[in-house]
Amino acid sequence: MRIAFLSDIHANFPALCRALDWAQRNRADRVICAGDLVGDGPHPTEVIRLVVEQKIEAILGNADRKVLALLQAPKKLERRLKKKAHAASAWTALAMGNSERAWLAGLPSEMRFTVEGAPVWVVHGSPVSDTDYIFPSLTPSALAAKLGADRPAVLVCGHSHIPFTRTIAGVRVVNCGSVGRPVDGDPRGAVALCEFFGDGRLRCRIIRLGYPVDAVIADLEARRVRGPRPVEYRTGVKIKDA
Amino acid sequence: VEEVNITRQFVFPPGSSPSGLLRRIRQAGYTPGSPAISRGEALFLDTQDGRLFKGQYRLSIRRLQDGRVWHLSGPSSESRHPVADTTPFPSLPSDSSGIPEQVKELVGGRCLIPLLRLKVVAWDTSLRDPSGDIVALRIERFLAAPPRGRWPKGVWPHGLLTIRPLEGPSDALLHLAAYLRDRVGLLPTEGDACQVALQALDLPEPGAPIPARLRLCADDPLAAAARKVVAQQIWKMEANIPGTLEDADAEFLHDLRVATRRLRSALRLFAEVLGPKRCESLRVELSWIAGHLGAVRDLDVFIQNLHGQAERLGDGAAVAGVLAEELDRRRVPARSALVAALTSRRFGALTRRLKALASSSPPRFPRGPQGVPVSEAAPVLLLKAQKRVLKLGRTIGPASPATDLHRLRILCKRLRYACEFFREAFADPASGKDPVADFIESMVRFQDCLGEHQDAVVAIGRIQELADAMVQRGALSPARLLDLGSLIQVQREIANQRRDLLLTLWRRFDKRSVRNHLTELEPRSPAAPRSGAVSAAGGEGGTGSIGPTQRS
Repeated sequence: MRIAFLSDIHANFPALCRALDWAQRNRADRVICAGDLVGDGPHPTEVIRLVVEQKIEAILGNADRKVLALLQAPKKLERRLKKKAHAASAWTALAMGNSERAWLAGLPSEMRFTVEGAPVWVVHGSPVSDTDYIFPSLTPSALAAKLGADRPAVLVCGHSHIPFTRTIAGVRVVNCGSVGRPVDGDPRGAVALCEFFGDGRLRCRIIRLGYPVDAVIADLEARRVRGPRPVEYRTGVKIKDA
Repeated sequence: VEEVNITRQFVFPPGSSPSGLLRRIRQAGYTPGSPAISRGEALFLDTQDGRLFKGQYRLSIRRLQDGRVWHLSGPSSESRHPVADTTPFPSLPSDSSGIPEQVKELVGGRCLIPLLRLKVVAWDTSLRDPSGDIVALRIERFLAAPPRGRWPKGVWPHGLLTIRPLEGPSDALLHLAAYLRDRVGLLPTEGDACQVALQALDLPEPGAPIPARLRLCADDPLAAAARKVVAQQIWKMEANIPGTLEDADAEFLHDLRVATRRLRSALRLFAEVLGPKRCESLRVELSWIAGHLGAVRDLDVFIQNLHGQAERLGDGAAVAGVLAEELDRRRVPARSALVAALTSRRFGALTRRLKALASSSPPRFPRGPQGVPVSEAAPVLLLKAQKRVLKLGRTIGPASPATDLHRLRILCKRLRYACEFFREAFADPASGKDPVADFIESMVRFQDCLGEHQDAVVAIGRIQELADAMVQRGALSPARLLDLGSLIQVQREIANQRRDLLLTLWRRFDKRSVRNHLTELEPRSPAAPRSGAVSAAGGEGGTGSIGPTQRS
């Protein structure tokens, strides 16, 4: 069975379309999103509609949770709109329709299932929390601390926007990277494809997919989304505010 | 969230069907309304200089089921006026009386030229977004043909899909636009059907604006910039040839002549980087066609000025009619020779050679100034041309011979053309500030004065020659002859007035503040010259050696 894992779409519709086209062409049986569907990008509504249309299974990410929390606190939302650093989350909260908000709020925070006998655990950040990170430098002891008593065959995560796949202490750790906001210096979106062969064998790889960055930048400007910078999309590097 | 209320357009591929597209959109949660299909035919019109296009107006005569209408669409409105004339479609009404007042105001007295014909099938429907908002969707498929050309056969080759918000905020439009672009894969476009058709037929837009790919950048190496300048002028030439052949508007001929002049000037300016021998031989050929163009254009200008100048004669103004008749007679063979030249194999070969030069690759290993960027090379070339103008201009006085003034005019034109070639490389794209605009303006004032003087001098000779010919034929009465003498006197007065004005305009042009517009363009860091750069190329004085060999 082939499963395409994606994460951190961040409301980047062209990048999601590219990732789904690729998954379809490569005969993925399931597509699973490890959170952060919205936030930062200009297409929250389009992304959620397409995820619903394509029946993509998804969990909630910290950016999604932040957007939903803002909807519960109108005064905070108003304050955030005025601050450039957080304006994108507030914009996203207002840009989504009621049906998209309701769908997002109904997402689980993690997903556990078994494929061809292999237990798979999908989280956004790490099993500890959706804001905790799993980087390629993860050590066996750190992984054991994060997993606690659980020992899945595959641990799928996102959040760090740095894709990798490694076997650590017998657990295959797959960080899908980011479809819509890569920050590892490669502006192309990242997707992880895992093939479960049924006899305990497993093959996972990270695929990088280019998408029309100019279209996203044009939409950021057209929809007046404040916060994300065009250069970050072009270079795949996150620029911190001074 | 602020409202962004605009329409979005996409290219609708020839092989696609509207119903197939609707099926796909329905999957995304949209609910389509029932479609309406309409058919029509349109003849688009504009002036020679593209006044309507520049103002984002589109004017067409449309054939509908219940008759013909003038259709004018603008940036913010659309209007229809019935066509009263009985001229069959797609011919133009026989006179301007039927043209709507609004159109007359927009074109400002210029005549309307047919651009192209379109046969359109439009498919309209509405789409209800999952949130309940409604978007209007229009798919136009069309055939395009030149005004007198045949319709293409086969499938409808062009299509445009337009969406606009109908009910509710424009969010639904933006969502659908993103879906059509990213999921369906339609290509966004900004042009309307007329622009798409012009591109498809490889016809320039009215007024022949220079395409973006041919615009100069400050970083362009001089060899590439020279090719772009040549290509720009070929573009202008080709845009005006059909109109010149049809004699639809005298301005086609004028613009064609200006383009050939600029081309000759560019070949002279860039001879060193494009190859001196090649440029020289092309200039010779361009001089040949310029001779034919000049023969007709000079008559056009003379006839145009004649009536105004003859007004000064009072009762004798009727002589203008006699002269104009004679000039019109002479224009016929001159125009026939021009048409023969423009349709000749020699002109075809010249065009091919010019295009080959413009499309040739710049040298991989540039030598001398070829690799120097425009921002560094242009100031040197401009200062050199300015130096020539100043050298001759400072010797000019009210008593200077007409030949010297004419020579000065030619040098001024070369300098002006050179400034205009490079101006876009120096313009600030953010503010739109053009550092040579004031310089060009002061030069144009002086140059126009020189031009009017030269026209008067040429007119004196021409009237004398016409008078001789008409007297020999016995076609001129003594009274008319006296009127012609008075007309010569009018020309002399014009020439003298311009001479009196010359010195004042020259002083304004030769002011330090005006001259500095060019010196300030010089690169700021001469301490680090490039390999083969301007100063290293060896040359006269401090201005370097970029540019053509000076010819007497």
